[in-house]
Amino acid sequence: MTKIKIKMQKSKLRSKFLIIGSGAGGALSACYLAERGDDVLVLEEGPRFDAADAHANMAGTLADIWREGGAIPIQSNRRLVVAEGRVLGGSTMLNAGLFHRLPEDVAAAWARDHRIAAFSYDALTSCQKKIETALGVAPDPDANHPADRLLKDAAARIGLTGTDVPVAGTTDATGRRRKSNMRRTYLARAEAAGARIRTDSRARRIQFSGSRAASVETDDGTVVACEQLIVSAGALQTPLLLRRSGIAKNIGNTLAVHPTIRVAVRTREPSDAYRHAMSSYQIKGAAPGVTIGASVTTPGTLASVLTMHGFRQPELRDQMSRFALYYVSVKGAPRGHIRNLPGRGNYLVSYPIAPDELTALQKGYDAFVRGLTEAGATAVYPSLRALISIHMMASCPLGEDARAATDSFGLLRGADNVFIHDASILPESPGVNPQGPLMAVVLRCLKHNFPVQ
Amino acid sequence: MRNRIIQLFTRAAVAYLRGEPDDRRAEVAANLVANAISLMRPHFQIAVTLGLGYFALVTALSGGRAEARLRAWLKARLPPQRDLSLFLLNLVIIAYFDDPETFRELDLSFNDYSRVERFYYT
Repeated sequence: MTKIKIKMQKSKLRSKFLIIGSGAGGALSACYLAERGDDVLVLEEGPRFDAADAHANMAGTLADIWREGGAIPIQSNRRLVVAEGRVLGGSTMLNAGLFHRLPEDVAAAWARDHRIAAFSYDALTSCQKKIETALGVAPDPDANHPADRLLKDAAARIGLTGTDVPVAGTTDATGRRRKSNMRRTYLARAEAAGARIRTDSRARRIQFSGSRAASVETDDGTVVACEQLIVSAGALQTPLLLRRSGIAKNIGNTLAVHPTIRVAVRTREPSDAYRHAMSSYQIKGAAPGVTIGASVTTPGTLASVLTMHGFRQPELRDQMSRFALYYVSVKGAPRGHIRNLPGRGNYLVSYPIAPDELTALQKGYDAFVRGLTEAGATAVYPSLRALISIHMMASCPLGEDARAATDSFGLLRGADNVFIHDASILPESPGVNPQGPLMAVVLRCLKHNFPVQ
Repeated sequence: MRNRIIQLFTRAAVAYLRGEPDDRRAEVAANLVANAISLMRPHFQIAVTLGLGYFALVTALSGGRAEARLRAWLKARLPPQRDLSLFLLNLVIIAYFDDPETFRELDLSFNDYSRVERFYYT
């Protein structure tokens, strides 16, 4: 019997700038470089997903835009899961759009502790303002959110004040409010300026020629040659890709997350919190590194907390409109590890939660419950399932100290043309939602490495 | 085979949530659970499939009362049993509380819920 050998021809692509990942960092980079006139190709592992209205909810999008079905288990001393997007636009397709600036004291501490060159608060703020204008960042128009009213009252009773965090969102011609995700903003601009976007295309390995990245091979065998490589695959996938490619020094050893507990709170009067988008009011100061706010209160997210406390549909029928969902989160230190495991796509993420983080979380929760009770809440039910985090960062930190994976402007150490432009390069947790700070840091890197406007 | 085992679990979970069986909603939830499992890392897929197989086996050996078995697993001392059942129940909850009929039964507005969700996902 004659054996017929068929050799699959690998398809080859070429681009001046190859960007891996299309989340906040990748989309921003693609837009600025494409508008400068450069040849840009974006590789995105997930699909190009445009939710039809009928499927624009968590159940409808779970398989298409959430990595691993919405819950990535983390090896930890407590049950801990994280969530991230796997779709064109990255995690901006599923987050709440709360948009913080990097606090001035944090910027100063990072510059000092991580020896980051030219890391001035003024320069970062200038970058931040540009991004805020592009995304339509503005105060939340839903200032009458019932969950916020209760939280403000509770904060006053425990001697704390909070802030209304701006939201990245715009109102269209029909008056409909829409979150400014990357798909609708920077990626749309990048495509209009000529950037090519290739979805459903996972980067398997970077191929180096000496200290230069020559090309990237994807899972389907495509090889993309490039002059400059920007890795923006997120705080989990960026270190995994670099490690698969033989780059390991200071990569994936310093992951930081924000361990968060969700809390269902019942009030005397119906508030119908589920009719409102996520509130934007946040309290700080209840304990070191702790943030308290109101979360998205869909009946499903409420039920996921309340079911563990014995609530079934008969009990929920009379009480659902009186519940709102809150969160208490703590700033985690950079101590998590990310490693590839044998087998395609297998990996392990670990994050041991430190005793002082658990103590702070408990103190914040206790203060929150005390304030809520004084403000009129009739019952409080913490989530018993697991701590969660939707914020991951600092797995490939920038700086000039011994822990840094890149230089002060995102250039990977030991490489001449590989840049990291995502939450990986934040040197630590900023203590706030990281999207705003990471975009400001990435724009600062872009301005330094390539003369973008 | 795996789909039948997933359906066994989702039927139990839906009965647990609403106090009575509902095959239609269990079927919808089974599709979502199957999708979610297919997206997991390979070693988690194997672990979840084995866990569901064990759930089906123990249920069969204890007289076929899957809902009672689920209740026991949710309070189990062994973390793998408890974590697996909590994780899968949470997926069933996502599907169950995305159903207009559930909203009607709870006297909540599905339109208001959809309007809020569209802010995030469109």
